[in-house]
Amino acid sequence: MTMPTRPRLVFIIFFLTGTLIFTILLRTTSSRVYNQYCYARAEQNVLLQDLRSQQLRLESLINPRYMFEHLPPPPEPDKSKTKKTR
Amino acid sequence: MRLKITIIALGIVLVTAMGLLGWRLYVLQFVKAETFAQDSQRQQTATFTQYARRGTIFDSRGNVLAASNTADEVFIEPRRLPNPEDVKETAMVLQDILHLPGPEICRLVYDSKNKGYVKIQSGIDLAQRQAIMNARLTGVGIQSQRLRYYPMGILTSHIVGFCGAEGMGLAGLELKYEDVLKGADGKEVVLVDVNRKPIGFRPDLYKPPFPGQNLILTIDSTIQQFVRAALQDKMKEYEAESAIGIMMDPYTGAILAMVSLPDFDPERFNTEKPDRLKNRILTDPYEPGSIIKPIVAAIALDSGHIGYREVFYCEDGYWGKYRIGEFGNHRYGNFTVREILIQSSNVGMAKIGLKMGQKRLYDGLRLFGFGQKTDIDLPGEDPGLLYPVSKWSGYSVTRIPFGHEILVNAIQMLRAYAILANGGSRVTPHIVKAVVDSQGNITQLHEAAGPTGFVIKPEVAHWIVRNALAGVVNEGTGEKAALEGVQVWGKTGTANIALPTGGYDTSNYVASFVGGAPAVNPKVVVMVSIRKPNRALNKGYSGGRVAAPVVGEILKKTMPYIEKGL
Repeated sequence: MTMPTRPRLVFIIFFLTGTLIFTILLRTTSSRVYNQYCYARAEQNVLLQDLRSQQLRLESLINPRYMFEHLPPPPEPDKSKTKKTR
Repeated sequence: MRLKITIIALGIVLVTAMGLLGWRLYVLQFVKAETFAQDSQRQQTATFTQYARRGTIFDSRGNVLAASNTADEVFIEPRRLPNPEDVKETAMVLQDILHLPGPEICRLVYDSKNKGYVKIQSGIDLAQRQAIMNARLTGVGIQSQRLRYYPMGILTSHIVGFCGAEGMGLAGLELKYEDVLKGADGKEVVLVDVNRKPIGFRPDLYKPPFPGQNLILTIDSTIQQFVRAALQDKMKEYEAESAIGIMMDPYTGAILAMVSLPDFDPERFNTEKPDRLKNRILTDPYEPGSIIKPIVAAIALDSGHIGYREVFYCEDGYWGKYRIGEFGNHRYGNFTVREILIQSSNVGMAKIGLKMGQKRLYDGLRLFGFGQKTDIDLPGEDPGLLYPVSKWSGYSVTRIPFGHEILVNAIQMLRAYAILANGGSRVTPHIVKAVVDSQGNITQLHEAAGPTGFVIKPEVAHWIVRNALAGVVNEGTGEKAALEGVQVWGKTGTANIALPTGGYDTSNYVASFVGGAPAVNPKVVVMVSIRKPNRALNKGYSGGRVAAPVVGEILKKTMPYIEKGL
């Protein structure tokens, strides 16, 4: 069995190191992308929550009970001022 | 020789050891493989429940009556902050993020009896959430809460009901339709690192949540508001104990409005007195008094035991033989059945009961649905009480025709009037028009079944409504329900309240009016009962005085609303 030559050894060490670094990079990127995704999803959920609470607030402001309590009653029609037709 | 023995012994030990090792490997690989795989999975993954959104409840016009949302809530775990200094430091950080005074946060923590959880603020936004996460405060956490909102508040509280802390329906439609509304929770499995920090998905184990289905009711919030406002004003005016009001479509049994006062705020139901949580329309049967008279008269006319023009002598106000007197000590002479109903004569009704006989009276009342549940789709209905004939006394056949010795709930009574209004057909009262899934597909539809057989002949039902009950409003005790331009019909009732100890309360009454409009092809039937109006006010306490104007007020607003299709 012959010993590897010096350049070959250096190449193998560089290759292994490179592979290791690339793997770590991929892993880090995957983790970062996943975290970004989780954050975006959480943000989307909060926005949806917010939108829904605004919708519900609107519902509570336009429902018949609120309007009857807060709007003045319509004026009674004045029968003395009915328009006469000829 | 000795060496040989040693080698053999070592060989045996070695073989045994190898055998044991092989056995262990076999156990690990085949016997306990699944357990270890599961343990490994558990260590490498974390499971998050994805809560299904509870279904929304809408009224017939699409107004939201109940809906769910989630909100993030900041909490502190006081047992992890044993020193007051730690609490102060945490409060100082939180006050800048939550815009809540630090001393207030400290007070919440110090005053809390629960050392595991103190709610600090609910409904925080994304920036606040991120700031709290970044601050990495000991004993501070964020929890997502599922909340149920009721935009109409107290207006429909007894119909919709409420949900408990776990999001489960505890009353009203929320309870009755729990299985339909709740949906099914999903789960998400993620891969985690050694610190349990998520690093990736397990899509193969993902189970999506299945949202709950939505309910569309027959209730119209605008009519509900008309009924509640009129009822509340009268209840306040007469300082009454409680009041109920219901409106129904007589042809389909659809409930258009249902109000029981006192009512409650469904978002704060746990702070209300239990008495306010009762839907008295369903849970409190009572002796109906005179409002049952048209039903009994219709049964007698339908069976041919009495005639439209037959005259009954009303004993000049008191029938000694059966110990029956008239309300208000009126003295009546000869009356036809129409006049008996218009003047609400107890003696006249007792004579109709006697002429009809026990069996026919009992059978007729059962056909009208008394003494049995109406099967309305709300929980807690009391079937009332109609004793079988075998338990009747000699007086019962004279008492039941004017509303004693029988217990009814308000839905039963309104349904009986709906039968008169629609020409004699039985209807099933219901409050849910349709169940719709999250995609908008109808999964259940309560269609009007149409006439399902006549309880009484149409001509009898029409005569009672158009002739006798319209007469009650035009000439009799119900004149305060009359309206211009539309023929209102109905019957008043001033019922005694039976005491648990026996006998009747002589100072308190239930004032009622049941009726509808118009007389031909009625659009609606309405019932109003006001319990214990204060007699000391000297404003009156009878059904004609207290309840009839409320029905008039309700119909005055509702009829144009329905006719114009607003």
